[in-house]
Amino acid sequence: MPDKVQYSDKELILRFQQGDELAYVELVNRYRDRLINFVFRFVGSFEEAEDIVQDTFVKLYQKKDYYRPISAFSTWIFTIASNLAKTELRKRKRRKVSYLSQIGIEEKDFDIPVEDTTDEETVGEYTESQIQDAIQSLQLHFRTALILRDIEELSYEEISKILDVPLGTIKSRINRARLQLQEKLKHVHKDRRTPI
Amino acid sequence: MDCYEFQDKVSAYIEKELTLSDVNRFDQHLESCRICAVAYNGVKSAVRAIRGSERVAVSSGFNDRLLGRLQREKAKPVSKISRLGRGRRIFGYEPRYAFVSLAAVALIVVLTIGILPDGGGKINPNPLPLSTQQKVNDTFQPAMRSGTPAAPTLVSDELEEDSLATPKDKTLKTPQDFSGKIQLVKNKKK
Repeated sequence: MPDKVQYSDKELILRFQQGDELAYVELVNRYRDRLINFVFRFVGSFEEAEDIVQDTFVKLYQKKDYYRPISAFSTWIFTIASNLAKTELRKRKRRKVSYLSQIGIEEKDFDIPVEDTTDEETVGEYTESQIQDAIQSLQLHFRTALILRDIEELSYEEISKILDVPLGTIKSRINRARLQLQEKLKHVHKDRRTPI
Repeated sequence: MDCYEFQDKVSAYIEKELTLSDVNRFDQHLESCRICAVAYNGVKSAVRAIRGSERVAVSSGFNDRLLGRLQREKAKPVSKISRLGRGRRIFGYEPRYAFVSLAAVALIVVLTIGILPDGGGKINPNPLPLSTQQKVNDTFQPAMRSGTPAAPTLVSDELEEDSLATPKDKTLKTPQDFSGKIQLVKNKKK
């Protein structure tokens, strides 16, 4: 692949389909950080997020011929990552259920003291962990739509295609997710103001 | 505009997707309702916070690890099912499901043939195996031929221990009582 030529995503995937592995590397470089941001906000663990992004690129390598140029490459790759992240969350849920069923009646859960977050960087009025916790507490379908819109800054149409949900539903989900998010962050404000 | 409609349109207002008339109605409600004004400011602030939040990047060596994984994936042997091909189907099923379905059908056929009565639907009047029938005949035929009732036979221990059997059942039984039933006769041991 000649240097200094800016190929579009579609051109790159078509070149990769024809056997140009450098085009694959270019796609990985283009999308790895966007995908890690999306998946990290989705699953909440950086290590797991990185594994999922790796899985996404392995899938891209193995299933490259499944891509059809009728849709945007970004839509396709985000769909793969989103499905893998959902599968991971389902697995995690199952593991949690089986772990809880193994805990005996005598065994007791102890609360782990919350780390002091005073040194943490703040974004406007909130800390990073407060934002992350608020996002994580949203229901899965609200969370996915919100991350794709407000972190990945994708259009409503793209999100609709990625999640395979009607456009109106996506708009409604994002609006409701934002309202819920402000409710949760409002409590953060209240907690901060409450004198100890 | 009421509070419900206002909250439904918060995002559309922030993203400037409302029509001019809706914008005017939205603004009027925003000025008149303190609760909705708080919600609106909260949403704006939350969106600002999430959009301005820290962006993460993959750790160093990500590409090397990925290429290593791809090498390992390539080296993996292809399974039989994969070799059959994803698109190939048998009777409209994926190969593995087709085999399972065929096996289930074959099992049902075998079981059905085994259960069906012999002789094209006629019920066998003597369902006991031949060897058992022979034993029964050897035991009871002479007595029945002579016209005298046969001596009562003691039923096996298993039957005697049956708690559901009445005391009468446990003691004396004539050969007629056993017609067509499986019986264990102790005195035939020799």
